[in-house]
Amino acid sequence: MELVKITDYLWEIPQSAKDGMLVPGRIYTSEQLLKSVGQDKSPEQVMNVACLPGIVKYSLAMPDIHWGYGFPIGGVAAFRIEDGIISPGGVGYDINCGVRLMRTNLTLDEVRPHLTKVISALYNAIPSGVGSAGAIAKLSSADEERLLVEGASWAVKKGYGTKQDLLHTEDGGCLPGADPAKVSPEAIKRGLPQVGTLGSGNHFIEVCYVETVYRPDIASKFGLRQNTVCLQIHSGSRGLGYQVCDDYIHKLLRASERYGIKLADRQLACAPVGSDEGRDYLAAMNCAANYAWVNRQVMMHIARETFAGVMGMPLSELGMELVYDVCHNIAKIEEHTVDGKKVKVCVHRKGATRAFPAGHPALPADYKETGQPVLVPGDMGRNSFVCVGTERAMAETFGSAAHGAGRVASRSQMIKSSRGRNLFKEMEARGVLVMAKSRDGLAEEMPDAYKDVNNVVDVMEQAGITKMVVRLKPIGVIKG
Amino acid sequence: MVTAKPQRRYEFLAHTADIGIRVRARSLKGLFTNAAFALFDISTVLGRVRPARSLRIELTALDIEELLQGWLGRLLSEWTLNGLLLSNFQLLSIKKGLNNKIHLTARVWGEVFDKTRHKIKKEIKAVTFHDLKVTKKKEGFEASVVFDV
Repeated sequence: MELVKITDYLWEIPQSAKDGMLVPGRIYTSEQLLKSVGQDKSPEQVMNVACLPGIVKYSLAMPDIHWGYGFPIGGVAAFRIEDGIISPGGVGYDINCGVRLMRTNLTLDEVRPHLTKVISALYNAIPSGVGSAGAIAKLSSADEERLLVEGASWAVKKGYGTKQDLLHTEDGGCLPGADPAKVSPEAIKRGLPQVGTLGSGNHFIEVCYVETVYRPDIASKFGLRQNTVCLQIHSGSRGLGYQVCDDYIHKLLRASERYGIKLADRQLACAPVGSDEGRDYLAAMNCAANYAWVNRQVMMHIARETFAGVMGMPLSELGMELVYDVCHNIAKIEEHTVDGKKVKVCVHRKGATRAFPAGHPALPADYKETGQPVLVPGDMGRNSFVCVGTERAMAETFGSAAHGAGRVASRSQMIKSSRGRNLFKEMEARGVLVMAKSRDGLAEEMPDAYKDVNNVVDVMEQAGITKMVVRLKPIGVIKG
Repeated sequence: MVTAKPQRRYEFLAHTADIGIRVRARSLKGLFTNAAFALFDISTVLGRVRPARSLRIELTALDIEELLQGWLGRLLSEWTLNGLLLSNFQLLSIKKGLNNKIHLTARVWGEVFDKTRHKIKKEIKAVTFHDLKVTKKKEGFEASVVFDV
């Protein structure tokens, strides 16, 4: 694999590296992080994406890049509307998997004595684990269809949260153009019992605090100060999203043949953005994205009430406000500057976060001067970060940044190396109280399965695509 | 790349984010049986799943890889949509039709999930097409499949 160093934080895979590449590949990384990139098939996946029709500028990868299926995880690619494609494999099964961060009026010292109760109460209140169900009783199919169209505002109308929450959610918690008629009955069925549930895998709820403040002016606009206690929720569109992706990969495999698109990997099945098949997928994907926002909105509401209950204070005193909610598995039609001209492109972010700069029209009024909060959760032992997007991200990465730390070890390796260890005690020794539905699930997510998120965020800072605002430290974690 | 050998019927491949498996068998029917076994062995404790109910499955695909993905996807949907855990698989036929498509007929057995007896170990979100391969070897057939988890 030929990787050409462009700067200390940017490497290029030349267009000549593989037959059929239409643009070069570019990976934001460092000498240190590059060692793990070379060990898996993710650079090959960057090259495969570079072969897809209508790709613009580069096939990009963020510093948390690792081996996915189809696109690499950490992959970003934009396609022209006229002759470019849209690919369910470029979004992933967990459509609009994302993170939301809430702040509170409380400090670490105020919460620490109640932590065990807080974590147990959250664990009991929010259904988690494999096939978790039942946070909302008796959701009807008609209600589900409405929430697929309306997104997070449906939840607010039903009493789960406030209108202010919507302002601090990417796209207001609703992608337009969602059409439930394009979602299969199987996907609708899978979605019915799962609104307000965490799921399993790498999904989590985390109580954390602000450990370091890098840019106090921006941090204070986000309601974040030294030792402020926060809560993060990481989840997505659950079974509904998985089913939408699976349904459309089959449909778009046939479409790829019809439109004569050669695929290096069938997982990259795609269709022209403007074709019937491409439009149908986008309409169904928007439904799944809206479902995911409702899911996180409902969980946040339950978390607020639970947290306030344990602390014995009214919601107003707890001040658990949404700092921001980002989605990191998505395809969107956005306006970007290409060759000096403003054009609409279909941006795929597969394990990548939108990172728009200050002044961007998509930002809420109170964040217009700060830039969009970019939430970068790390592993459950080390740190997570709140950054903001920059003009440079807009120019270089279609306004995108990393979505996490990025895995380095496989799940089977982690389970093997965890044998004979008390993982809960190990985490406790690191100052993190953990509750998990499954021991193997916990083993797979132990901190050493991941890169150090500090290194990932450092690459983005040095490359100029995000600016660090605060660093968070976990104290309590719930794993599905 | 092989990191563990929990069952002779399949083995894990090192995949950074998800679960990759390699399956081998002397015949294509055996290969499909072993792959189905792997799917449910990863998802649940198979010894606790009784063959109380049976189901006939018929599928058609353009090639053998799509047939394998379709087969595993169909079985996974029995679990995710109907709550049916499957433990026994009998491949009745895998053959090419006149239109060059490949047809599969099978009977599978299992029972509806009962939380008092069954244990779910892992949520498999989907059977991906990534790196999906079925190859003919001297001693039989081999396939690799990546599950999204």
